[in-house]
Amino acid sequence: MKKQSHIFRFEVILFFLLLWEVLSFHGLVNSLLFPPPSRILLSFKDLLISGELIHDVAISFERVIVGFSISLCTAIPLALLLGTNKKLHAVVSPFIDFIKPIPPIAWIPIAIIWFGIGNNLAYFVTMIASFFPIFTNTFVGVENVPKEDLEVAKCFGANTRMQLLDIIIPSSLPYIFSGIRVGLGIAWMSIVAAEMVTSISGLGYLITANQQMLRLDRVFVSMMTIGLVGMVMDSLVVRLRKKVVRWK
Amino acid sequence: MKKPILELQNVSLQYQNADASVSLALHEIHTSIHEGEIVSVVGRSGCGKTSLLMLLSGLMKPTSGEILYEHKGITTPSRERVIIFQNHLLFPWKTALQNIEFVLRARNFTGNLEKEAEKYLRLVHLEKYKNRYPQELSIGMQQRVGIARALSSDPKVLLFDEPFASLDGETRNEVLEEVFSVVRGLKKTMVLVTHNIEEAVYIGERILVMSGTPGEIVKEIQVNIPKTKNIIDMRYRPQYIRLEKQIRKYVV
Repeated sequence: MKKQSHIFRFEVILFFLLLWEVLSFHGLVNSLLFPPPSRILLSFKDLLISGELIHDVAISFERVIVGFSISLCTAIPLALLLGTNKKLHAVVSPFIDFIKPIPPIAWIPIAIIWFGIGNNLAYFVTMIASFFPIFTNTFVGVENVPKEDLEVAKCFGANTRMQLLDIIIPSSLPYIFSGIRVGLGIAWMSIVAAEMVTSISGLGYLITANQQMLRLDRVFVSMMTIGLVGMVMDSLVVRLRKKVVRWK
Repeated sequence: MKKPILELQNVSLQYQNADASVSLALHEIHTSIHEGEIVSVVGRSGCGKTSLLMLLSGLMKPTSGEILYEHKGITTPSRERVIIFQNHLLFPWKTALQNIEFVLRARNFTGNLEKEAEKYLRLVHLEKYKNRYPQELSIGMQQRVGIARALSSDPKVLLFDEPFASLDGETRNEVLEEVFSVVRGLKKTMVLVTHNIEEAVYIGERILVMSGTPGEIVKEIQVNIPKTKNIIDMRYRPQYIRLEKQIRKYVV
C-alpha cells in the first residue's frame, strides 16, 4: 500500500515535469522565466562536474552545522535548567519571550556590524534561528514530564542527577527531537537568506549570483539543491529519533 | 505483639482546589500498622484511599496530625516505603531490566547490576523478557515487573495503590495469586489500597474500611479466614461470605 502510494507520487511528479517540458518546447511557457527541466538537469550536471555546487553546498552545510551545534549545546541545557527551576524561569523567561519573536533575518544588519561579513555572521544567524525551536520544545518536554514518574523516582531514592539523567531527559527526548527537526529546518532556511544578503559563497550566494546573470536554470538548480539537502537532513534526524526514542 | 512500624495520629488532609476553595480529603485518621503485617484498605472510589497511601509514602504531607515511621515523623519519601502505583508503574524508556537497574543504582548497589536485576525478574518469572520495553509487555507482566522493581529497592514497607485494577477478572486473579505468593514469603509490611473487597480479604490480615467524604476509617476488621492458594477457593467459603457482607455494609 505504502509502495503503491510512492509510485503514484512519482508518477504525478513525472507527469508534471513532462508537461512543463512539452509546454516549454512548444513555446507555451516562457523558457527564460521557466527554464525547462531538461535545461535545469544539464545545468545541474555542469555545476556538479565543475565542483561549484558541491563546494557551495559544503560551505552552507558547514555554517548550518556549526551554528546549529552551538544552539544545541546552549538551548537544551538552558531549557533543562529553566524547566526544573521555576524561580530562575520567572527571571529569565521575559527576556526569552521578548527575543523569540524577532525573525533570524532581522538580526543580519546588526550581526554584520558585530561580526563583519563572513562565517561568524553565518554561524550567529543559524544559531539564533535554531535556538528558540530547540529551547521551546525542550522546555515543553520538561514541563510535561509525568509527575508520577518523578514521584516514583524520588520514592526509590533517586538523587537530583538521576532524576535529570534517567527521568527528565529521556522523558523529554521526543520533544527535544521535534525541536531539533524544526530548528534544523529554520537554520537551513536562514543560512540561505543570510548568504543571499551578505556572503560571497554558499547556496544563497549561488542563487543571487545566477539571478543577476539571468541564469534562472542555475537558480532552479540551487533552489532544488536547498530542498534536497533540507529533506535529507530532516530524514536523518527522523531516523536518529527512531533509534534513540525506541519506546515511542 | 509486633511493634508498630507506621502510626497515623489524628491525620487530616486538605486539598486546595483550583478556585482556592478547600476540600477535606481525610479526617482524623488514627491507626497503626505493625511490622510484617499485611493491611488492606478498602473503600469506594474517592474516599481518600490513595491520599492515605501518598501520606504513608511521604509524597504528601498531612494538614494536621502526624505520621510516624519507626517512631519518627515522615518528612520525605524514602525507598524504605515504596509505593506501587496503579498506572505509571514503569519508566517507558527503560527496558524491564533497566527499570530495576535504576532502583539498584538509586540505592547505591555496588555489585553486578545486571545479575542483581535479573534476580528480581526471576522472582516474578520474567527473566526472559528482561530486554523488553514496558509497552512490549502485557499489562499483567508490567505489573509484575513493577513489583519486582519495588522489591529491588529492598523496602521495609510496600504500599500498593490498586495495582491490579486495570486487569481483567481472570488475569487479575492469576497475577494477584502469583505476586502475593512471592511477596508473602518476603515477610514485608504491606499496605494494599483497593476498592475490591475480595482482593482486600484475600491479601490482607487486617482490613481498614474507609468511607465517606472526607474519608474516615469506619471499621477495622481482623481477617481470620485461612489463606487459600487461589482466590476462587476463598470466594465460596462461608466465613468469606459473612466477612464480605460485613465489609459491604460499612463501605456503602
